[in-house]
Amino acid sequence: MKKKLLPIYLGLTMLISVIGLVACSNEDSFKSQKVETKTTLVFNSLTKEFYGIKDKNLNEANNQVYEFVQKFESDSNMPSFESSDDLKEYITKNPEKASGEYNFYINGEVVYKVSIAKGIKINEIIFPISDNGRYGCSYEGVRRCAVDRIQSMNWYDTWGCIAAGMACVMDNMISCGIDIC
Amino acid sequence: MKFFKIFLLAFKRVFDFKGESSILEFWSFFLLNILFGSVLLIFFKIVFDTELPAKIYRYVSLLPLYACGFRRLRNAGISPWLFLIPLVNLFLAGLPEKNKEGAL
Repeated sequence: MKKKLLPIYLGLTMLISVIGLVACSNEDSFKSQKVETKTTLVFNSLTKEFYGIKDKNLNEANNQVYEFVQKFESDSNMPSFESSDDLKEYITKNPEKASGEYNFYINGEVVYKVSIAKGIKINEIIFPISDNGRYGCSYEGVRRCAVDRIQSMNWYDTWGCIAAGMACVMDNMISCGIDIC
Repeated sequence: MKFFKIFLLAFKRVFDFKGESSILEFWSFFLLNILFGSVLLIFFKIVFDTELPAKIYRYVSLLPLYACGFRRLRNAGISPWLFLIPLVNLFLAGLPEKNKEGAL
């Protein structure tokens, strides 16, 4: 009985893991009414200027990575556009179809949120930007910090992290939580 | 108290890769190990601003964790070497004992 069920059990485990990984890595790709743009820039604290990510060495202490994300979720399905100009033209010509919610994120932390009803802004909120360095004191900020720490580990720490599994992830989340918040 | 004794037992059987461990023994050690390491990390991070003791503990506890995992998989009737596969090993460690046919 157990020998027959073991492959099923293992297969289900693998399937659930794959579904979980796919869902976590690309959570919004299946919804056609969502538009998202992502820009990553490097801020140099000496020159006080932003640079493209290819122009700067990320290992330098003076360089901090900032990720800017714009998300617009339309209340209704929108046609797909080849360029941002096409989208702009569509919204300009059909303002009554521009209804939904727009969010602007810096390093995973929402800093601007506005609801749009038929092309008119309603309920606009500007959030204060966190002073806690490059990560905000939110679940997303702590998660990003933990991911970055794990990715920047040397080979023996990476090996230890894989071996420890959940404990390693939890330790990094706790450590980031204490540092950020 | 029983869980704590089981937790210490895993450290006592640190080099025992050939015996067997029950589901209770494995999961008690697994959960208390995470909890103890986390408490250690929080304490040293807040009081002394260092992660070193927690990091050392994590490395030290790997051996009893893997010994316990190997014993658990042997107890479940499957190859203990499968415990080396990350993520899958935890699901395998939840399989019932080999002498409890049909318990799955």
